[in-house]
Amino acid sequence: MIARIGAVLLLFIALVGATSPPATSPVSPVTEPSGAATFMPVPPPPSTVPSVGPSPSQPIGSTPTPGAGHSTPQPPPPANLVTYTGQLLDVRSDYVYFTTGDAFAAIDPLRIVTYETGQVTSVQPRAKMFAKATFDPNTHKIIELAITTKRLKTSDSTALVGYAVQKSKLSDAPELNGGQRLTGRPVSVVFEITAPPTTNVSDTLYISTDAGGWNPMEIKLDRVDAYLYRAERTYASGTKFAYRVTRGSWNSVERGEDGLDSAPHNFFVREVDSLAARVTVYHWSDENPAHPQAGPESIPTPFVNNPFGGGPGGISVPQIPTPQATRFH
Amino acid sequence: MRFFLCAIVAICVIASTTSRADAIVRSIVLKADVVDYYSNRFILTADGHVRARLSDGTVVSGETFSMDLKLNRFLIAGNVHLDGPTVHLTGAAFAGYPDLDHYYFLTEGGEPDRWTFFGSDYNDTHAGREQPGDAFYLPNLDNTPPYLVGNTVTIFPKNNIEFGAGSRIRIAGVYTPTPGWVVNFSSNPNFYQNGFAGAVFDVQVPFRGSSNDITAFDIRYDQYQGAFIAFEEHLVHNADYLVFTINPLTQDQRQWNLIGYKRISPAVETRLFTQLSTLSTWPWKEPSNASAYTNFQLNSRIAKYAVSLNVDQYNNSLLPTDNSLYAANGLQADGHPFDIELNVQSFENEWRVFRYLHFPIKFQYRAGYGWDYSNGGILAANSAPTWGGALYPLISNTYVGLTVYTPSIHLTRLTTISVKSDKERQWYSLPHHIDTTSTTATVAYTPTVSNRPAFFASYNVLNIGDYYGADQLEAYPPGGAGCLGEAAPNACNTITNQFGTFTGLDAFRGIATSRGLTGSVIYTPTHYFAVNITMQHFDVTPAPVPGVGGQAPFQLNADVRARLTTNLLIDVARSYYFNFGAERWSPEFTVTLSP
Repeated sequence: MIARIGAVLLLFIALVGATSPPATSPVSPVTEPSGAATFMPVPPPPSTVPSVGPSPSQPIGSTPTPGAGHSTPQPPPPANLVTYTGQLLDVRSDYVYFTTGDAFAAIDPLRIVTYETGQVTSVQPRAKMFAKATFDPNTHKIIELAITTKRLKTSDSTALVGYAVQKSKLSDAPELNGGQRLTGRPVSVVFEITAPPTTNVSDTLYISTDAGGWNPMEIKLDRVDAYLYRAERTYASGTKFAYRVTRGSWNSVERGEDGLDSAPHNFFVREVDSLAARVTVYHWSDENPAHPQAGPESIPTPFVNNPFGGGPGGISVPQIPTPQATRFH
Repeated sequence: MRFFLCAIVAICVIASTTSRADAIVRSIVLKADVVDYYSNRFILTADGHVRARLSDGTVVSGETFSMDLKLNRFLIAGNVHLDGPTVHLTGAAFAGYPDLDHYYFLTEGGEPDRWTFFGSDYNDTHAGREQPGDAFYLPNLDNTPPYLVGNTVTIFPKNNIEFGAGSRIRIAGVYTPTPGWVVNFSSNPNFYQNGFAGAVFDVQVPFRGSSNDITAFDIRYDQYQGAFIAFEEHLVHNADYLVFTINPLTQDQRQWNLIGYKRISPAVETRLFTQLSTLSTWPWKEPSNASAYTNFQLNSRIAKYAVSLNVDQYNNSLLPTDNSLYAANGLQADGHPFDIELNVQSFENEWRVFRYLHFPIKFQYRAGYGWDYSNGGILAANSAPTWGGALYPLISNTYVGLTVYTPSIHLTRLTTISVKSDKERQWYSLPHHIDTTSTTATVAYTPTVSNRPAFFASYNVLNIGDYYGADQLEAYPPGGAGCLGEAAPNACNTITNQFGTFTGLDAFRGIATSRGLTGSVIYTPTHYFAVNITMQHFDVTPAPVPGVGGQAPFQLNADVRARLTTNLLIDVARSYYFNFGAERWSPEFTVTLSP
């Protein structure tokens, strides 16, 4: 009889062992590196490692009692807990707020541990910290918060539908509809500038942007055609910038077809592989050789308005690019 | 009386309502234990006892703050208190989107909620309204050292931030105390209008600012003045601006510059540039020498024409009994010339018949009329105030010009050709005229993919002639070009300057020609590397003289660009002059770093 009972028990144990997953294997694939929420059993804390933090029942922020956790076996956590990793905004009034704007309820008292060691800590969670929250799937409350000042990869919160707490019913905001999700991916932007026919073949064109502090020689363009100049740069999607075309200084900047000062061109980097910023320049501010744009960079010379030592006229032979003295007169 | 009182009350009500509605975005005074500015990202952060006072009087406090200055949105998170005349709230985070005039709040207590405020009306919570997905995101600034560190900053959204005195700026890895520092991130380029003549070194110390102005000292150096300090003040309102500079402030020779721009209407603009040059030991001392120059421009669009009026006034000597150079040379009476010119330029036109022939030809034309006046007589071709025994205190001139050009016409799928030509003639009441003719033909090979080299070749002929008819030899005697600006007795055939000795100028008779051939190759094998090599040959008559006129006969320009990181591109350029004027390589490498 005893032998039969023993055989049945052995058979039962064998069957259970064959159908149940090993205790340490995940229930579902761990997808944390790719950014998805994880559904995995929380590994039991190493009972052999002495804990110096407060016990789980200790209030948040209370001073840990040295040795309180020594050799005290932690209660085995329930299987199939839900975790979420993100950056904290605040922890207050039994709620944990993440930078997604979601607020999650937490048990009172909440167990706060160090992310790196898993040990209970007295450090208070605060804004900017990263945290891994472990939820009780039954109550949807956070039962443990592992905090760190190091950057962690944020989980996808879509698996936590129904977990976040919001008092009011969600309603649409029409002004946000159509908003594009921007990831900051690198986008190649090709500047294609069509220069006016007054542009000399030896002139160099530049793009000046507000992102570069309106440096008039910020992005040098290559001449690829009689009129076409080109340059390529990479910007993060979502970048907004304004730009103007110059010939190297603010005394030689683009003008509109009407000869008036033109407003900067605004550009928005969308979430695509590549974009083109095309502009046609009609005039330069200094293209009238008789009356170049006056300014401190073009200090007027005394009234010797003769081209070759000759009569009045105001034409000039191009200078070679050698250093010229800047003199007061 | 009652009408005026009612009007005043109405205006006050309207003004207060208006200011209340938009005041929230005008400025934010931010105080915290640490305020950091990251120049490469245009991001401002603050940590520890953060207190932000919005310009409508609302105070928001919390643990941390971040603001994307370009996107014009901010966030305060952690134990947030929102206090204003009509509001006292606590919550987890407060995000501001001034451009949308929306403010988002995460509440605390009982059950958390998401509230949306429209403007500064904090009594209407719009609970549960959808909020931007990244409204409460904090920027990732790991491993990025801040450019500026302080504990007080005033933010003028979309324009600049002003750090208080004692803030520290990162220079060569060292944080250096400042008397205050203003960072301008405006998309309005008029904050950057240059009010200085060139210097080889310039560090701006913008120590004060607001939403409409920046005040700065500049530490500068050039080879003529040495090291010196300059001052600049920029006032900007939308398209209009006013720039005042003193350069240098600490040397005897000073320039006082004033630059103004006013957009009177969408079709009319005015520009003013005036410059006073003084020589005195201190700025407030009476100068021993002074001169001035003023330029005024009125530009407008009339139908499909760009019309401009340009006025110049030169005051080469401003001292009544001065000892200036002009007085010493007996030219004081000549020291106040004036000129005015009216210019008309057409928009781009096209002869449509050529488009139908698949050979489009476009054209623009221009014309102008002006006067030059000088009491002592305008210097004529012989560099004397008289011509033919007559004094010409006033000379009028008229010009017409025509530019004809083709767009790039495809010879093959990847090869294009284009031709442009410009001709201008200018007549003077002093009997002579100047003709300028420029013709350029360009052939380009431009692959559709950038990783194959692109080529272009261009040939240009430029002719400039100053024609005096029978008096040509009197106007341009042999050797006249050799001593530019000198009277005929000083004419010479040879020029000696710091670049060497140059001869062969006797043949010049007022007619100059330049023929230029340019070839270029641009190779961009990857997005991370590009080479541009340009070779130019010029054949110029009269012979070119370095530092005086003409082009170097041979020039090679090489430009190499390499992307070092995602956000950093280095551009190294240098030119070679084939020993013209004892110059081979251009003085130095040009190294440019850009995003």
